[in-house]
Amino acid sequence: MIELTGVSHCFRGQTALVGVDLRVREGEKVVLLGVNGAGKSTLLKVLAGLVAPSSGEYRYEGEVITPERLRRDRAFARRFRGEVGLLFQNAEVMLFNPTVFDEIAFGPRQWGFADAEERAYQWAERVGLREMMDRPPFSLSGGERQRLALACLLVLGPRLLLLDEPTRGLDPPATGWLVELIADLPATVISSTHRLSLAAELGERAVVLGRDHRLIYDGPVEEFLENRDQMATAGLLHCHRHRHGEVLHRHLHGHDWE
Amino acid sequence: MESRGWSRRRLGDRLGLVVYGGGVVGVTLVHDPVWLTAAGVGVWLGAGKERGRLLRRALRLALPWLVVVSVGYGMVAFWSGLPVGEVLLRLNLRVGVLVLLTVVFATRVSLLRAVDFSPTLVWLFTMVMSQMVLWQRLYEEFRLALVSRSPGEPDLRTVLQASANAIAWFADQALATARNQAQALRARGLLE
Ligand SMILES: Nc1ncnc2c1ncn2[C@@H]1O[C@H](COP(=O)(O)OP(=O)(O)OP(=O)(O)O)[C@@H](O)[C@H]1O
Ligand SMILES: [Mg+2]
Repeated sequence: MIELTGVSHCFRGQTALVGVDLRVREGEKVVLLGVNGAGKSTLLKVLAGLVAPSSGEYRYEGEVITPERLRRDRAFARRFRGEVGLLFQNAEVMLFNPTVFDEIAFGPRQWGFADAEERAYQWAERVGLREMMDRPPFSLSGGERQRLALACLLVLGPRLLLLDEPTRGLDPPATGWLVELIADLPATVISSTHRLSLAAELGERAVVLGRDHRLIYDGPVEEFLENRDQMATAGLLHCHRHRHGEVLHRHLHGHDWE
Repeated sequence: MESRGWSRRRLGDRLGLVVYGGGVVGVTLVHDPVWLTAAGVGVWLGAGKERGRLLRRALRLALPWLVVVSVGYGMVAFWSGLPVGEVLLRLNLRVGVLVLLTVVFATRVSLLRAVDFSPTLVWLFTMVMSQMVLWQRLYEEFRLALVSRSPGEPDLRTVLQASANAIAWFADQALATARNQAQALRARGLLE
């Protein structure tokens, strides 16, 4: 479904991705790991056809994707944007309609679904925002906005769902709900996170970006989580001082998942 | 040798800063649309070989804001019987010239070098510039989000809605940032 070959990206001299090769099959659940600034968001934007690779190639269903092509070929863009949804790291930037209801119905209306309103109600129910249909999105709490943005994507029934830190701002019950939702979804899902505790729940395959913006691991999540050296290389363990009895010492930790 | 080149460039930068400051004050004082247009053309011609690209960048920065403000003002003025045409013309010209001047200035002169006689000013400019970078990225984020949620070119209504949302959000953030920065300034003893 997804085929990246040697994809690199540079923002005006700022390197964000280097030579990424990646293949993802339909229905896979992938978790994208990496430290701050490793290039996770950039990779997801490339996959959503919003950012062009500076070099290399991205194919979706065999078709070469660039923002340029999506601007030129309207019919293709319509299909692609309908099938591929990106949850932005700041979900706020996605919300601009006057009410929660209009926000969820926006996509289905734009794509001309006959049952736009029905779908909007259904998804509002599923993300637990049914009581807030008439409220303006900006009046919601952070976690509610995150769920609203998610509903806006799911309501379109995407084939490829790209989630940038989807659990950001969610409380434990909402996080649990999201983990189950992702597992049950028929779509291909790629979620980014730097929380190791969630890695194994968000997917069975881990793709890890290193500090040098290259892909440093691609394989089963469990295997990655068992290899401390690899996690340390990726910068995903933290180091701090603490006490064991009377002795003060420091060593690497990943304890939010232990 | 190295340091002499640096100080010569710094002198040029300071001169640029003075010219820029004068330009900004001038544009704010002039009210006649004809003179404002002349100033705009003058800046543009003075921008050198890159003038096409600089003009496009200035337009991209200024247009969304100008459209929203003009439409908003136009409606209010229309309902309350205020003059519309000339006020809007002047507003659009003035902001356009200021943005163009700023864009041209920013490519010519290193602000940091121009103000490095004062550590406080350097710190202030670094802060302002890091804010600008942050905002530019956020603006890009808003734009990409709209693109990704639309099947094709979004219609005017959607664009206006999204801009209004972005502006409200920016205003909110700006207020919070301003408050924090004022506190930071006070903490450094700059406001006393
Ligand atoms: N719009 C931009 N302009 C310039 N540089 C950018 C831009 N967006 C990202 N970068 C840079 O690209 C690199 C990768 O950024 P990216 O946002 O993809 O990282 P990330 O892995 O998502 O980090 P985080 O965990 O903090 O979200 C960083 O060095 C960042 O500073
Ligand atoms: Mg990110």
